[in-house]
Amino acid sequence: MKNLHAIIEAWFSALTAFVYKRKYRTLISVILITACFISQIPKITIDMRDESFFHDDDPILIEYNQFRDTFGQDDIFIVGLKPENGLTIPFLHTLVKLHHELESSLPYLHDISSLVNGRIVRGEEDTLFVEELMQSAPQNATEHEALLSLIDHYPLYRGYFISEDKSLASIIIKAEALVNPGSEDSILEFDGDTIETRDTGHKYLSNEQNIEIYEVIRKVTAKYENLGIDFHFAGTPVFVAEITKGIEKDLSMMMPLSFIMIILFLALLFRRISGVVFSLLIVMLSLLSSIGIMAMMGIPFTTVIQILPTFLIVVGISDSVHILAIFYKHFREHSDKQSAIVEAVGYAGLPVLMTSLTTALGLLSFAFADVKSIAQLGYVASIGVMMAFLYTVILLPALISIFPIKSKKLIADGKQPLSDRIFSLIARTTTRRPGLIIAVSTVIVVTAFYCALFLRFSHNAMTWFPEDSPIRIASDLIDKTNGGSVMLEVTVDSGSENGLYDPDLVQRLDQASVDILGISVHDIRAGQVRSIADILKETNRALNEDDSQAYVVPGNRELIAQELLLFESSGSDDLEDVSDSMYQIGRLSILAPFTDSIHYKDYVDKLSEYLERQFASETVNMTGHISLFIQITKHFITSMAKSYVFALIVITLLMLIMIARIRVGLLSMIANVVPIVLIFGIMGILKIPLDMSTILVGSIVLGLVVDDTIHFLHHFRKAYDHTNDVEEAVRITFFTTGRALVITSMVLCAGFFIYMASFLVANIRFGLLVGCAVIFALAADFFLIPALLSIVHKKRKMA
Amino acid sequence: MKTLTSSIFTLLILTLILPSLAGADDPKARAIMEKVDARDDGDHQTADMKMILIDKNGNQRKRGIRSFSKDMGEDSFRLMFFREPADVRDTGFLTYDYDDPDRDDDQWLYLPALKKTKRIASSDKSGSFMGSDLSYSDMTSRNLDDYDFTLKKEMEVKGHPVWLIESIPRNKKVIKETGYTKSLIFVRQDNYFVIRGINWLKNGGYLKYLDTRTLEQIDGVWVGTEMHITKKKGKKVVHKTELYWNNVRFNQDLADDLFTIRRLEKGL
Repeated sequence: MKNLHAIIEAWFSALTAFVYKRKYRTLISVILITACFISQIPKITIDMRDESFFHDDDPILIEYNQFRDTFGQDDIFIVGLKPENGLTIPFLHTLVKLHHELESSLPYLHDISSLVNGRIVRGEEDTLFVEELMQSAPQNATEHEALLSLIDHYPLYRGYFISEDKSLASIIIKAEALVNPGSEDSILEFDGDTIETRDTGHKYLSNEQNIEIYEVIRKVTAKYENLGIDFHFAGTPVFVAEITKGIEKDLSMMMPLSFIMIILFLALLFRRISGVVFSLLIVMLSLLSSIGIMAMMGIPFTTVIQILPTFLIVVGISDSVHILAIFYKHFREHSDKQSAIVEAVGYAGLPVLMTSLTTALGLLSFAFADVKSIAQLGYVASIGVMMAFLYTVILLPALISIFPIKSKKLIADGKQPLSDRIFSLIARTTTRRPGLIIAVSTVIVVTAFYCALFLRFSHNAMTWFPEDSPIRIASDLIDKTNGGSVMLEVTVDSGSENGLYDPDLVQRLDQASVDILGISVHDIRAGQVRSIADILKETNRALNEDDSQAYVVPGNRELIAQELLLFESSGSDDLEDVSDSMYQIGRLSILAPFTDSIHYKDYVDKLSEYLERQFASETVNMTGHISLFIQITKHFITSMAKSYVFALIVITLLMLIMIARIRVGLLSMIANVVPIVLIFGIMGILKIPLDMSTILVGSIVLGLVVDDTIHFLHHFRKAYDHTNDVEEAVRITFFTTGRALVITSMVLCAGFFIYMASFLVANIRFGLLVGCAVIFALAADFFLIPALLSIVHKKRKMA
Repeated sequence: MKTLTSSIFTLLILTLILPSLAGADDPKARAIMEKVDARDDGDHQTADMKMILIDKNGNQRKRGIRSFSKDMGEDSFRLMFFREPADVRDTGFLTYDYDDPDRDDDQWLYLPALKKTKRIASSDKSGSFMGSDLSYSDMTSRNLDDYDFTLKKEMEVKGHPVWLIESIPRNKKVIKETGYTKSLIFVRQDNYFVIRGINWLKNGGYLKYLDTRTLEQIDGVWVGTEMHITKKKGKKVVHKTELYWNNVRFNQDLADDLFTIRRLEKGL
């Protein structure tokens, strides 16, 4: 093993010498390759939709898509209008105008509905009217009064178009599920003129298109401000648009800030322009190349992948700092650039390679994740880590070769610098009093572990927004007054064509919409349930002279069939929303509040139990956004379990190979796990849940800690081989690698803590946790590892 | 002299370009449409109609209808009874399609299960005709004054020369009534029969293709006896209706009292 180490070190030295001589050729090649990757960046897309969490072959996604193919998009944009004086005539005029303006300006519009075009099915003598509630807004008090009583006559409006207390009117907007690429060339082609192709190039509504709709909604409604109406925007598509905006805002603010912090700290610590510029250049290039590769692979930016830039900054900085720290030391001593860089890469190349490999493999563990975007992060980030490694060992020597670097002599005043004195003190304490260090560590870890027990899983992306953000206020308001803003879709398959003509089944559907409103778990209670029964009840009432006694599902099959035929012929296409075209599958649309997906599961379980009883002889399926949320939660818990276990095993194995001593390798894993326990402890204390954004912190922490440990142990072993004395070896390691570790840790801390100035709560938490993790990782290597090492070596000496 | 030529030239260009820019009316296209409107479409007609409704997954539903129609001056009356499926047998529709554009058509529906006739009040003709992809407006003749016509080109459809005419509604009321913002009409040059049509739907970005697959001359009248109506989004078929007309007879001497509510309630 020692031989192998020597061979690899020699190889790194040779590579560096080779690059150093062919500096311009190297630089040009690197620039050309990088340019290739960067040229792909414009192709990058953003996808914050809930679908982005699912693999294409995930049964839940397939079921959801099948549902969308039949019934269209399930989720809705809700524009809530809260007039200061209630449903006055001027307000209704505004509502009519706004409704029509939205209808004519929205792209990808499938359906827009509100009180304006609320369905009216009424009978007057022998005439049946199927019409819209407001052809025009009421002109006088009589019309106004008539309208208000009509609103009361249609129970379906309540909790949907108008809140129970009439304080909030809503415009409900549904986008098209499938968007057509819109080719005009083949417009004159009729079926049979050419052979039909299966692939029609249709795509489900994309993130950009969703945002496009939302922006038009905001632009149109902006014209109606200052009319004494409060506007509130909610619903899952609004959430998607807002989170995209939030993430873009944070990325565009925090990335530059993070870079500035890193520049500042690098400058402060290295006091050399080269140290700042070279490190930064390497980080930037590997980041840009990785994003280019992402674009090439067709992987979009998602809520998960947005941590990639930060992550690659961490890795890239640490790679170059470790080599530069040793380079500057040699350069100061010998003033020879070439020998200094050859020496530095030869010395630190292997640990940098090993840290890159462990990190990349740890990340690759995500590739097995059930959450698609986490799996994608696994591919991209592991590629990115290796890119950072390559840029470091190839570009750094070339840059050093090309640009002049001043040689600074140490000012020898006979006194050790403060940092060295601190290092010596730590080395002395940890190696002489290992028992104390371990006891203190144990107390801290046990406390953290206890706090970590309060950790809970959660997936409520709404809490990623600050509490006073408009989207949260709007969601809360609409959930409270209307009872919901998120859809859960139930399909009831009767098993045969025209199965929905069966009065018993339709009556059970009708009963279900009453019963479901009574089901409540964790304060989740549906605000509204719609089904085909509603249309039949309205039609039946209208056919019976508007007698409210007749607001029931007809009792015989023929009448149901004929009423449906009548409704079909009335000009309304509302049946498409409640049944498939064969009258085989009925749909129950349940509108529920936006809350934690963990709670949805219990609610849906209870609901499902009820539905199985209510529709024992039919096939019941559940889909819609709530169903997606539940699956996302399940998936990320299993993803996390799988990838943590995989990463732990792989990293342990690599540590053992690297360190080549089983006992030391296993002991070092203790030091690797401790910071993770501490982070979970902090999350427990601060009540930060394990959700889609914090779940990834663990892996980043593991990557960081392991890197620190590898660097530390690598240099310690060399020093120990020389000195055969633990304290001396630890001190030597502190002076070289230790210094580099402190530098990288300070740089990274600054880079991450700055994220606490973010807009999105998720990013604030992320910055806080990763920043703490950096400190914990450093502490573990500075205190725990030396203590553990001294115990191991003491025992050996005694033996 | 120079100014004169250039102004003539400008004028010439303007006359060539303006119509296509403004999409204004084109007399040649209008003349064709007038002939289409004047084409003899028969009278006193009885027929059996079979309707196959096909959804995007290929599921099919069949409906059988017996139809009677008669022209009353410029208006046309139509009586229809469902024969199948069994659940809706004897459900009947009676429609009076008035020539006067200001008068809403009358429509009655008889539900045998309720033993009641209801008049359906609706000025909107864009709704589905008995659950098919045809709308009521597809079933009634266009009022030529409501549209601007442009002759786009001459081409062939299945070996027959046709004119391809674009029709654009002149006002929003027409768009609301028909549900179409624009149509392309394929008129056969030999018999002025509209054998194909493409309609742009106001809502949802759909296109509706009407295709006469079989054209027969029955009692001297051209009748499309097989028709496919396909609702598409881009290239994707959203829904499709196939219509087959059988036993088409003209000049059946249908009495006026056939087209009354009393007759509607008696069933077939």
